[in-house]
Amino acid sequence: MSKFEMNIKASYVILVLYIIVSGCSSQAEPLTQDLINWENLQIAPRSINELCPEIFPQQLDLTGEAVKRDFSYGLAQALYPRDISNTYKISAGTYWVDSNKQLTVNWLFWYPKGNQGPIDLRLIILLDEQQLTKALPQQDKYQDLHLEKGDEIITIPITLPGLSPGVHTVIAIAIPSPQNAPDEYGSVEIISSRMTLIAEPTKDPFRAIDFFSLPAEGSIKNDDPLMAIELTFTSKEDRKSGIHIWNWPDPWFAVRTGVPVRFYALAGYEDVKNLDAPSLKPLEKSFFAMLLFVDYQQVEITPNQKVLYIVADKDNAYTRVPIEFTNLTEGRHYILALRIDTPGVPMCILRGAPTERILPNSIYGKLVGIEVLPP
Amino acid sequence: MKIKRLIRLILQISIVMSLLIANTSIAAAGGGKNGKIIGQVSNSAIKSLPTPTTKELRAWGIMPNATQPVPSGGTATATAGLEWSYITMYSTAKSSLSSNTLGVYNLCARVVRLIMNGVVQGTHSSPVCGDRTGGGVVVDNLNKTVASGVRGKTWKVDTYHNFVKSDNTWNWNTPNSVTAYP
Repeated sequence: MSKFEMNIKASYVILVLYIIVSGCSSQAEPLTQDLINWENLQIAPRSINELCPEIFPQQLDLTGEAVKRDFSYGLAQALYPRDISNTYKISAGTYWVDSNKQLTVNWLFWYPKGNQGPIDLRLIILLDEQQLTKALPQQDKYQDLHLEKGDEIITIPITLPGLSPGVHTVIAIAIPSPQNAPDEYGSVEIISSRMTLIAEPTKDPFRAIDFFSLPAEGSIKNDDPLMAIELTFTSKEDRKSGIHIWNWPDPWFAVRTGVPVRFYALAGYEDVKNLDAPSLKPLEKSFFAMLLFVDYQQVEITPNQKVLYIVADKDNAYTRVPIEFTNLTEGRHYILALRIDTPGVPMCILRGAPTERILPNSIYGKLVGIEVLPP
Repeated sequence: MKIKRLIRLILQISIVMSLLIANTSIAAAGGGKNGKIIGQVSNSAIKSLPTPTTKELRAWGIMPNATQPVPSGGTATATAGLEWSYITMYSTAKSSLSSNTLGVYNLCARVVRLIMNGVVQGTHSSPVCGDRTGGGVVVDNLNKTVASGVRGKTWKVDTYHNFVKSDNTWNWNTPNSVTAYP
């Protein structure tokens, strides 16, 4: 995409978001854009060649032999490029690879004999916050995996398309026991692995993303509850009685066919407190992406946008994103919202050194139900 | 007269002793939170072993086997906790390694949300992280004071825990939660 096209697209997104925010507020504030850079990550600048300490292939537990010694029950998982010899350099969770070449990543699971029963997982793959529908062996929007306890590392290959030069993020998400969802609290157990692929040649350590500053509705200084991500029907006008979780205590919200469903996603500022680096100042801003899925398929969260990139200042307890469904078919639908912290930044920077800044790198989710009844 | 004095003395001593005992009881129940804690509940992942049934897991909202043995037989534990005074609910997320753990892990813990009767409560919470080895613990807290008191309401805390190896490859991350009806 050319720079001109990117500018046009950014202007369009600003317009759409402005209309959305205007619809929520009688006094809409102007939307501003922000890009991630060293200054607003509050980290000393580094060159692309000296981005992070190097790790050598022999230090990696590619076959899972070490993890087999470490873990005798529970579920451990990891992501590695299948052919590590094709990487130019390795740092923590970050791999330098060729651009425009198809790449396979192995998603490894270790579910040892110490466990007492099998486990079911629903697998979803994201590349740069976009769901891949042909990356998993079943070549569908998701794949279900049934793990029996055993001695073997289970490998799920992830086929990635050729990458353009630059920084790319692969996120592998496993949702345990999807057959039990949703619960009355909208809770979902997001088990995730995140890796960065830096496709050569590139000089930029970050993916260029326009983050939009939406107006803060909740204030941390005023003791409003900080939201990682929440799905609610509570409107701005009704918030004084508290932000209600979905349709609690009913996990399902019932609606007649043809009746629009309007609700809100709320999310705010996030920081990480590294106990081994107590002198660091809190982040002035935090950056995150918000994604929406219906029946585990990614859909637009705002018109023409499958990903909403938001920057929140340090007093922003939550900002409000209205969501509306007008055409859900009859039956039960699973609505999944994801929040991905600090997208577009290599994992080796996000994790930092033990006594340096750790940037927000979590993935949070909410999973709720809508039941569309006959007319 | 002597008998009357003796009886009076015994009564006085009894009253003083009973007052002392009563005060001691209140102080002992107080724990570390302003001497007012009147109840507590926690869901340590260790308690979930052996693996609970699917129904129990759903009720607890936890990942099966939220405990991982680590090198040398160590154990990682994710704990979600609630304790309360008459008007304040204290929530805790704790990620810990047993003392016999040899390796170094990056531990994170976070109270993701505190809920009262289906309404999100609390103020500010961030993931708390640190590199830790045997006996290491990281804890995040989030409290909420309610003028009408904490009793007679359904409380739930959702927590998030992460244990990552230094090369940021093999990892174990899991949510946890616990519910209370004081």
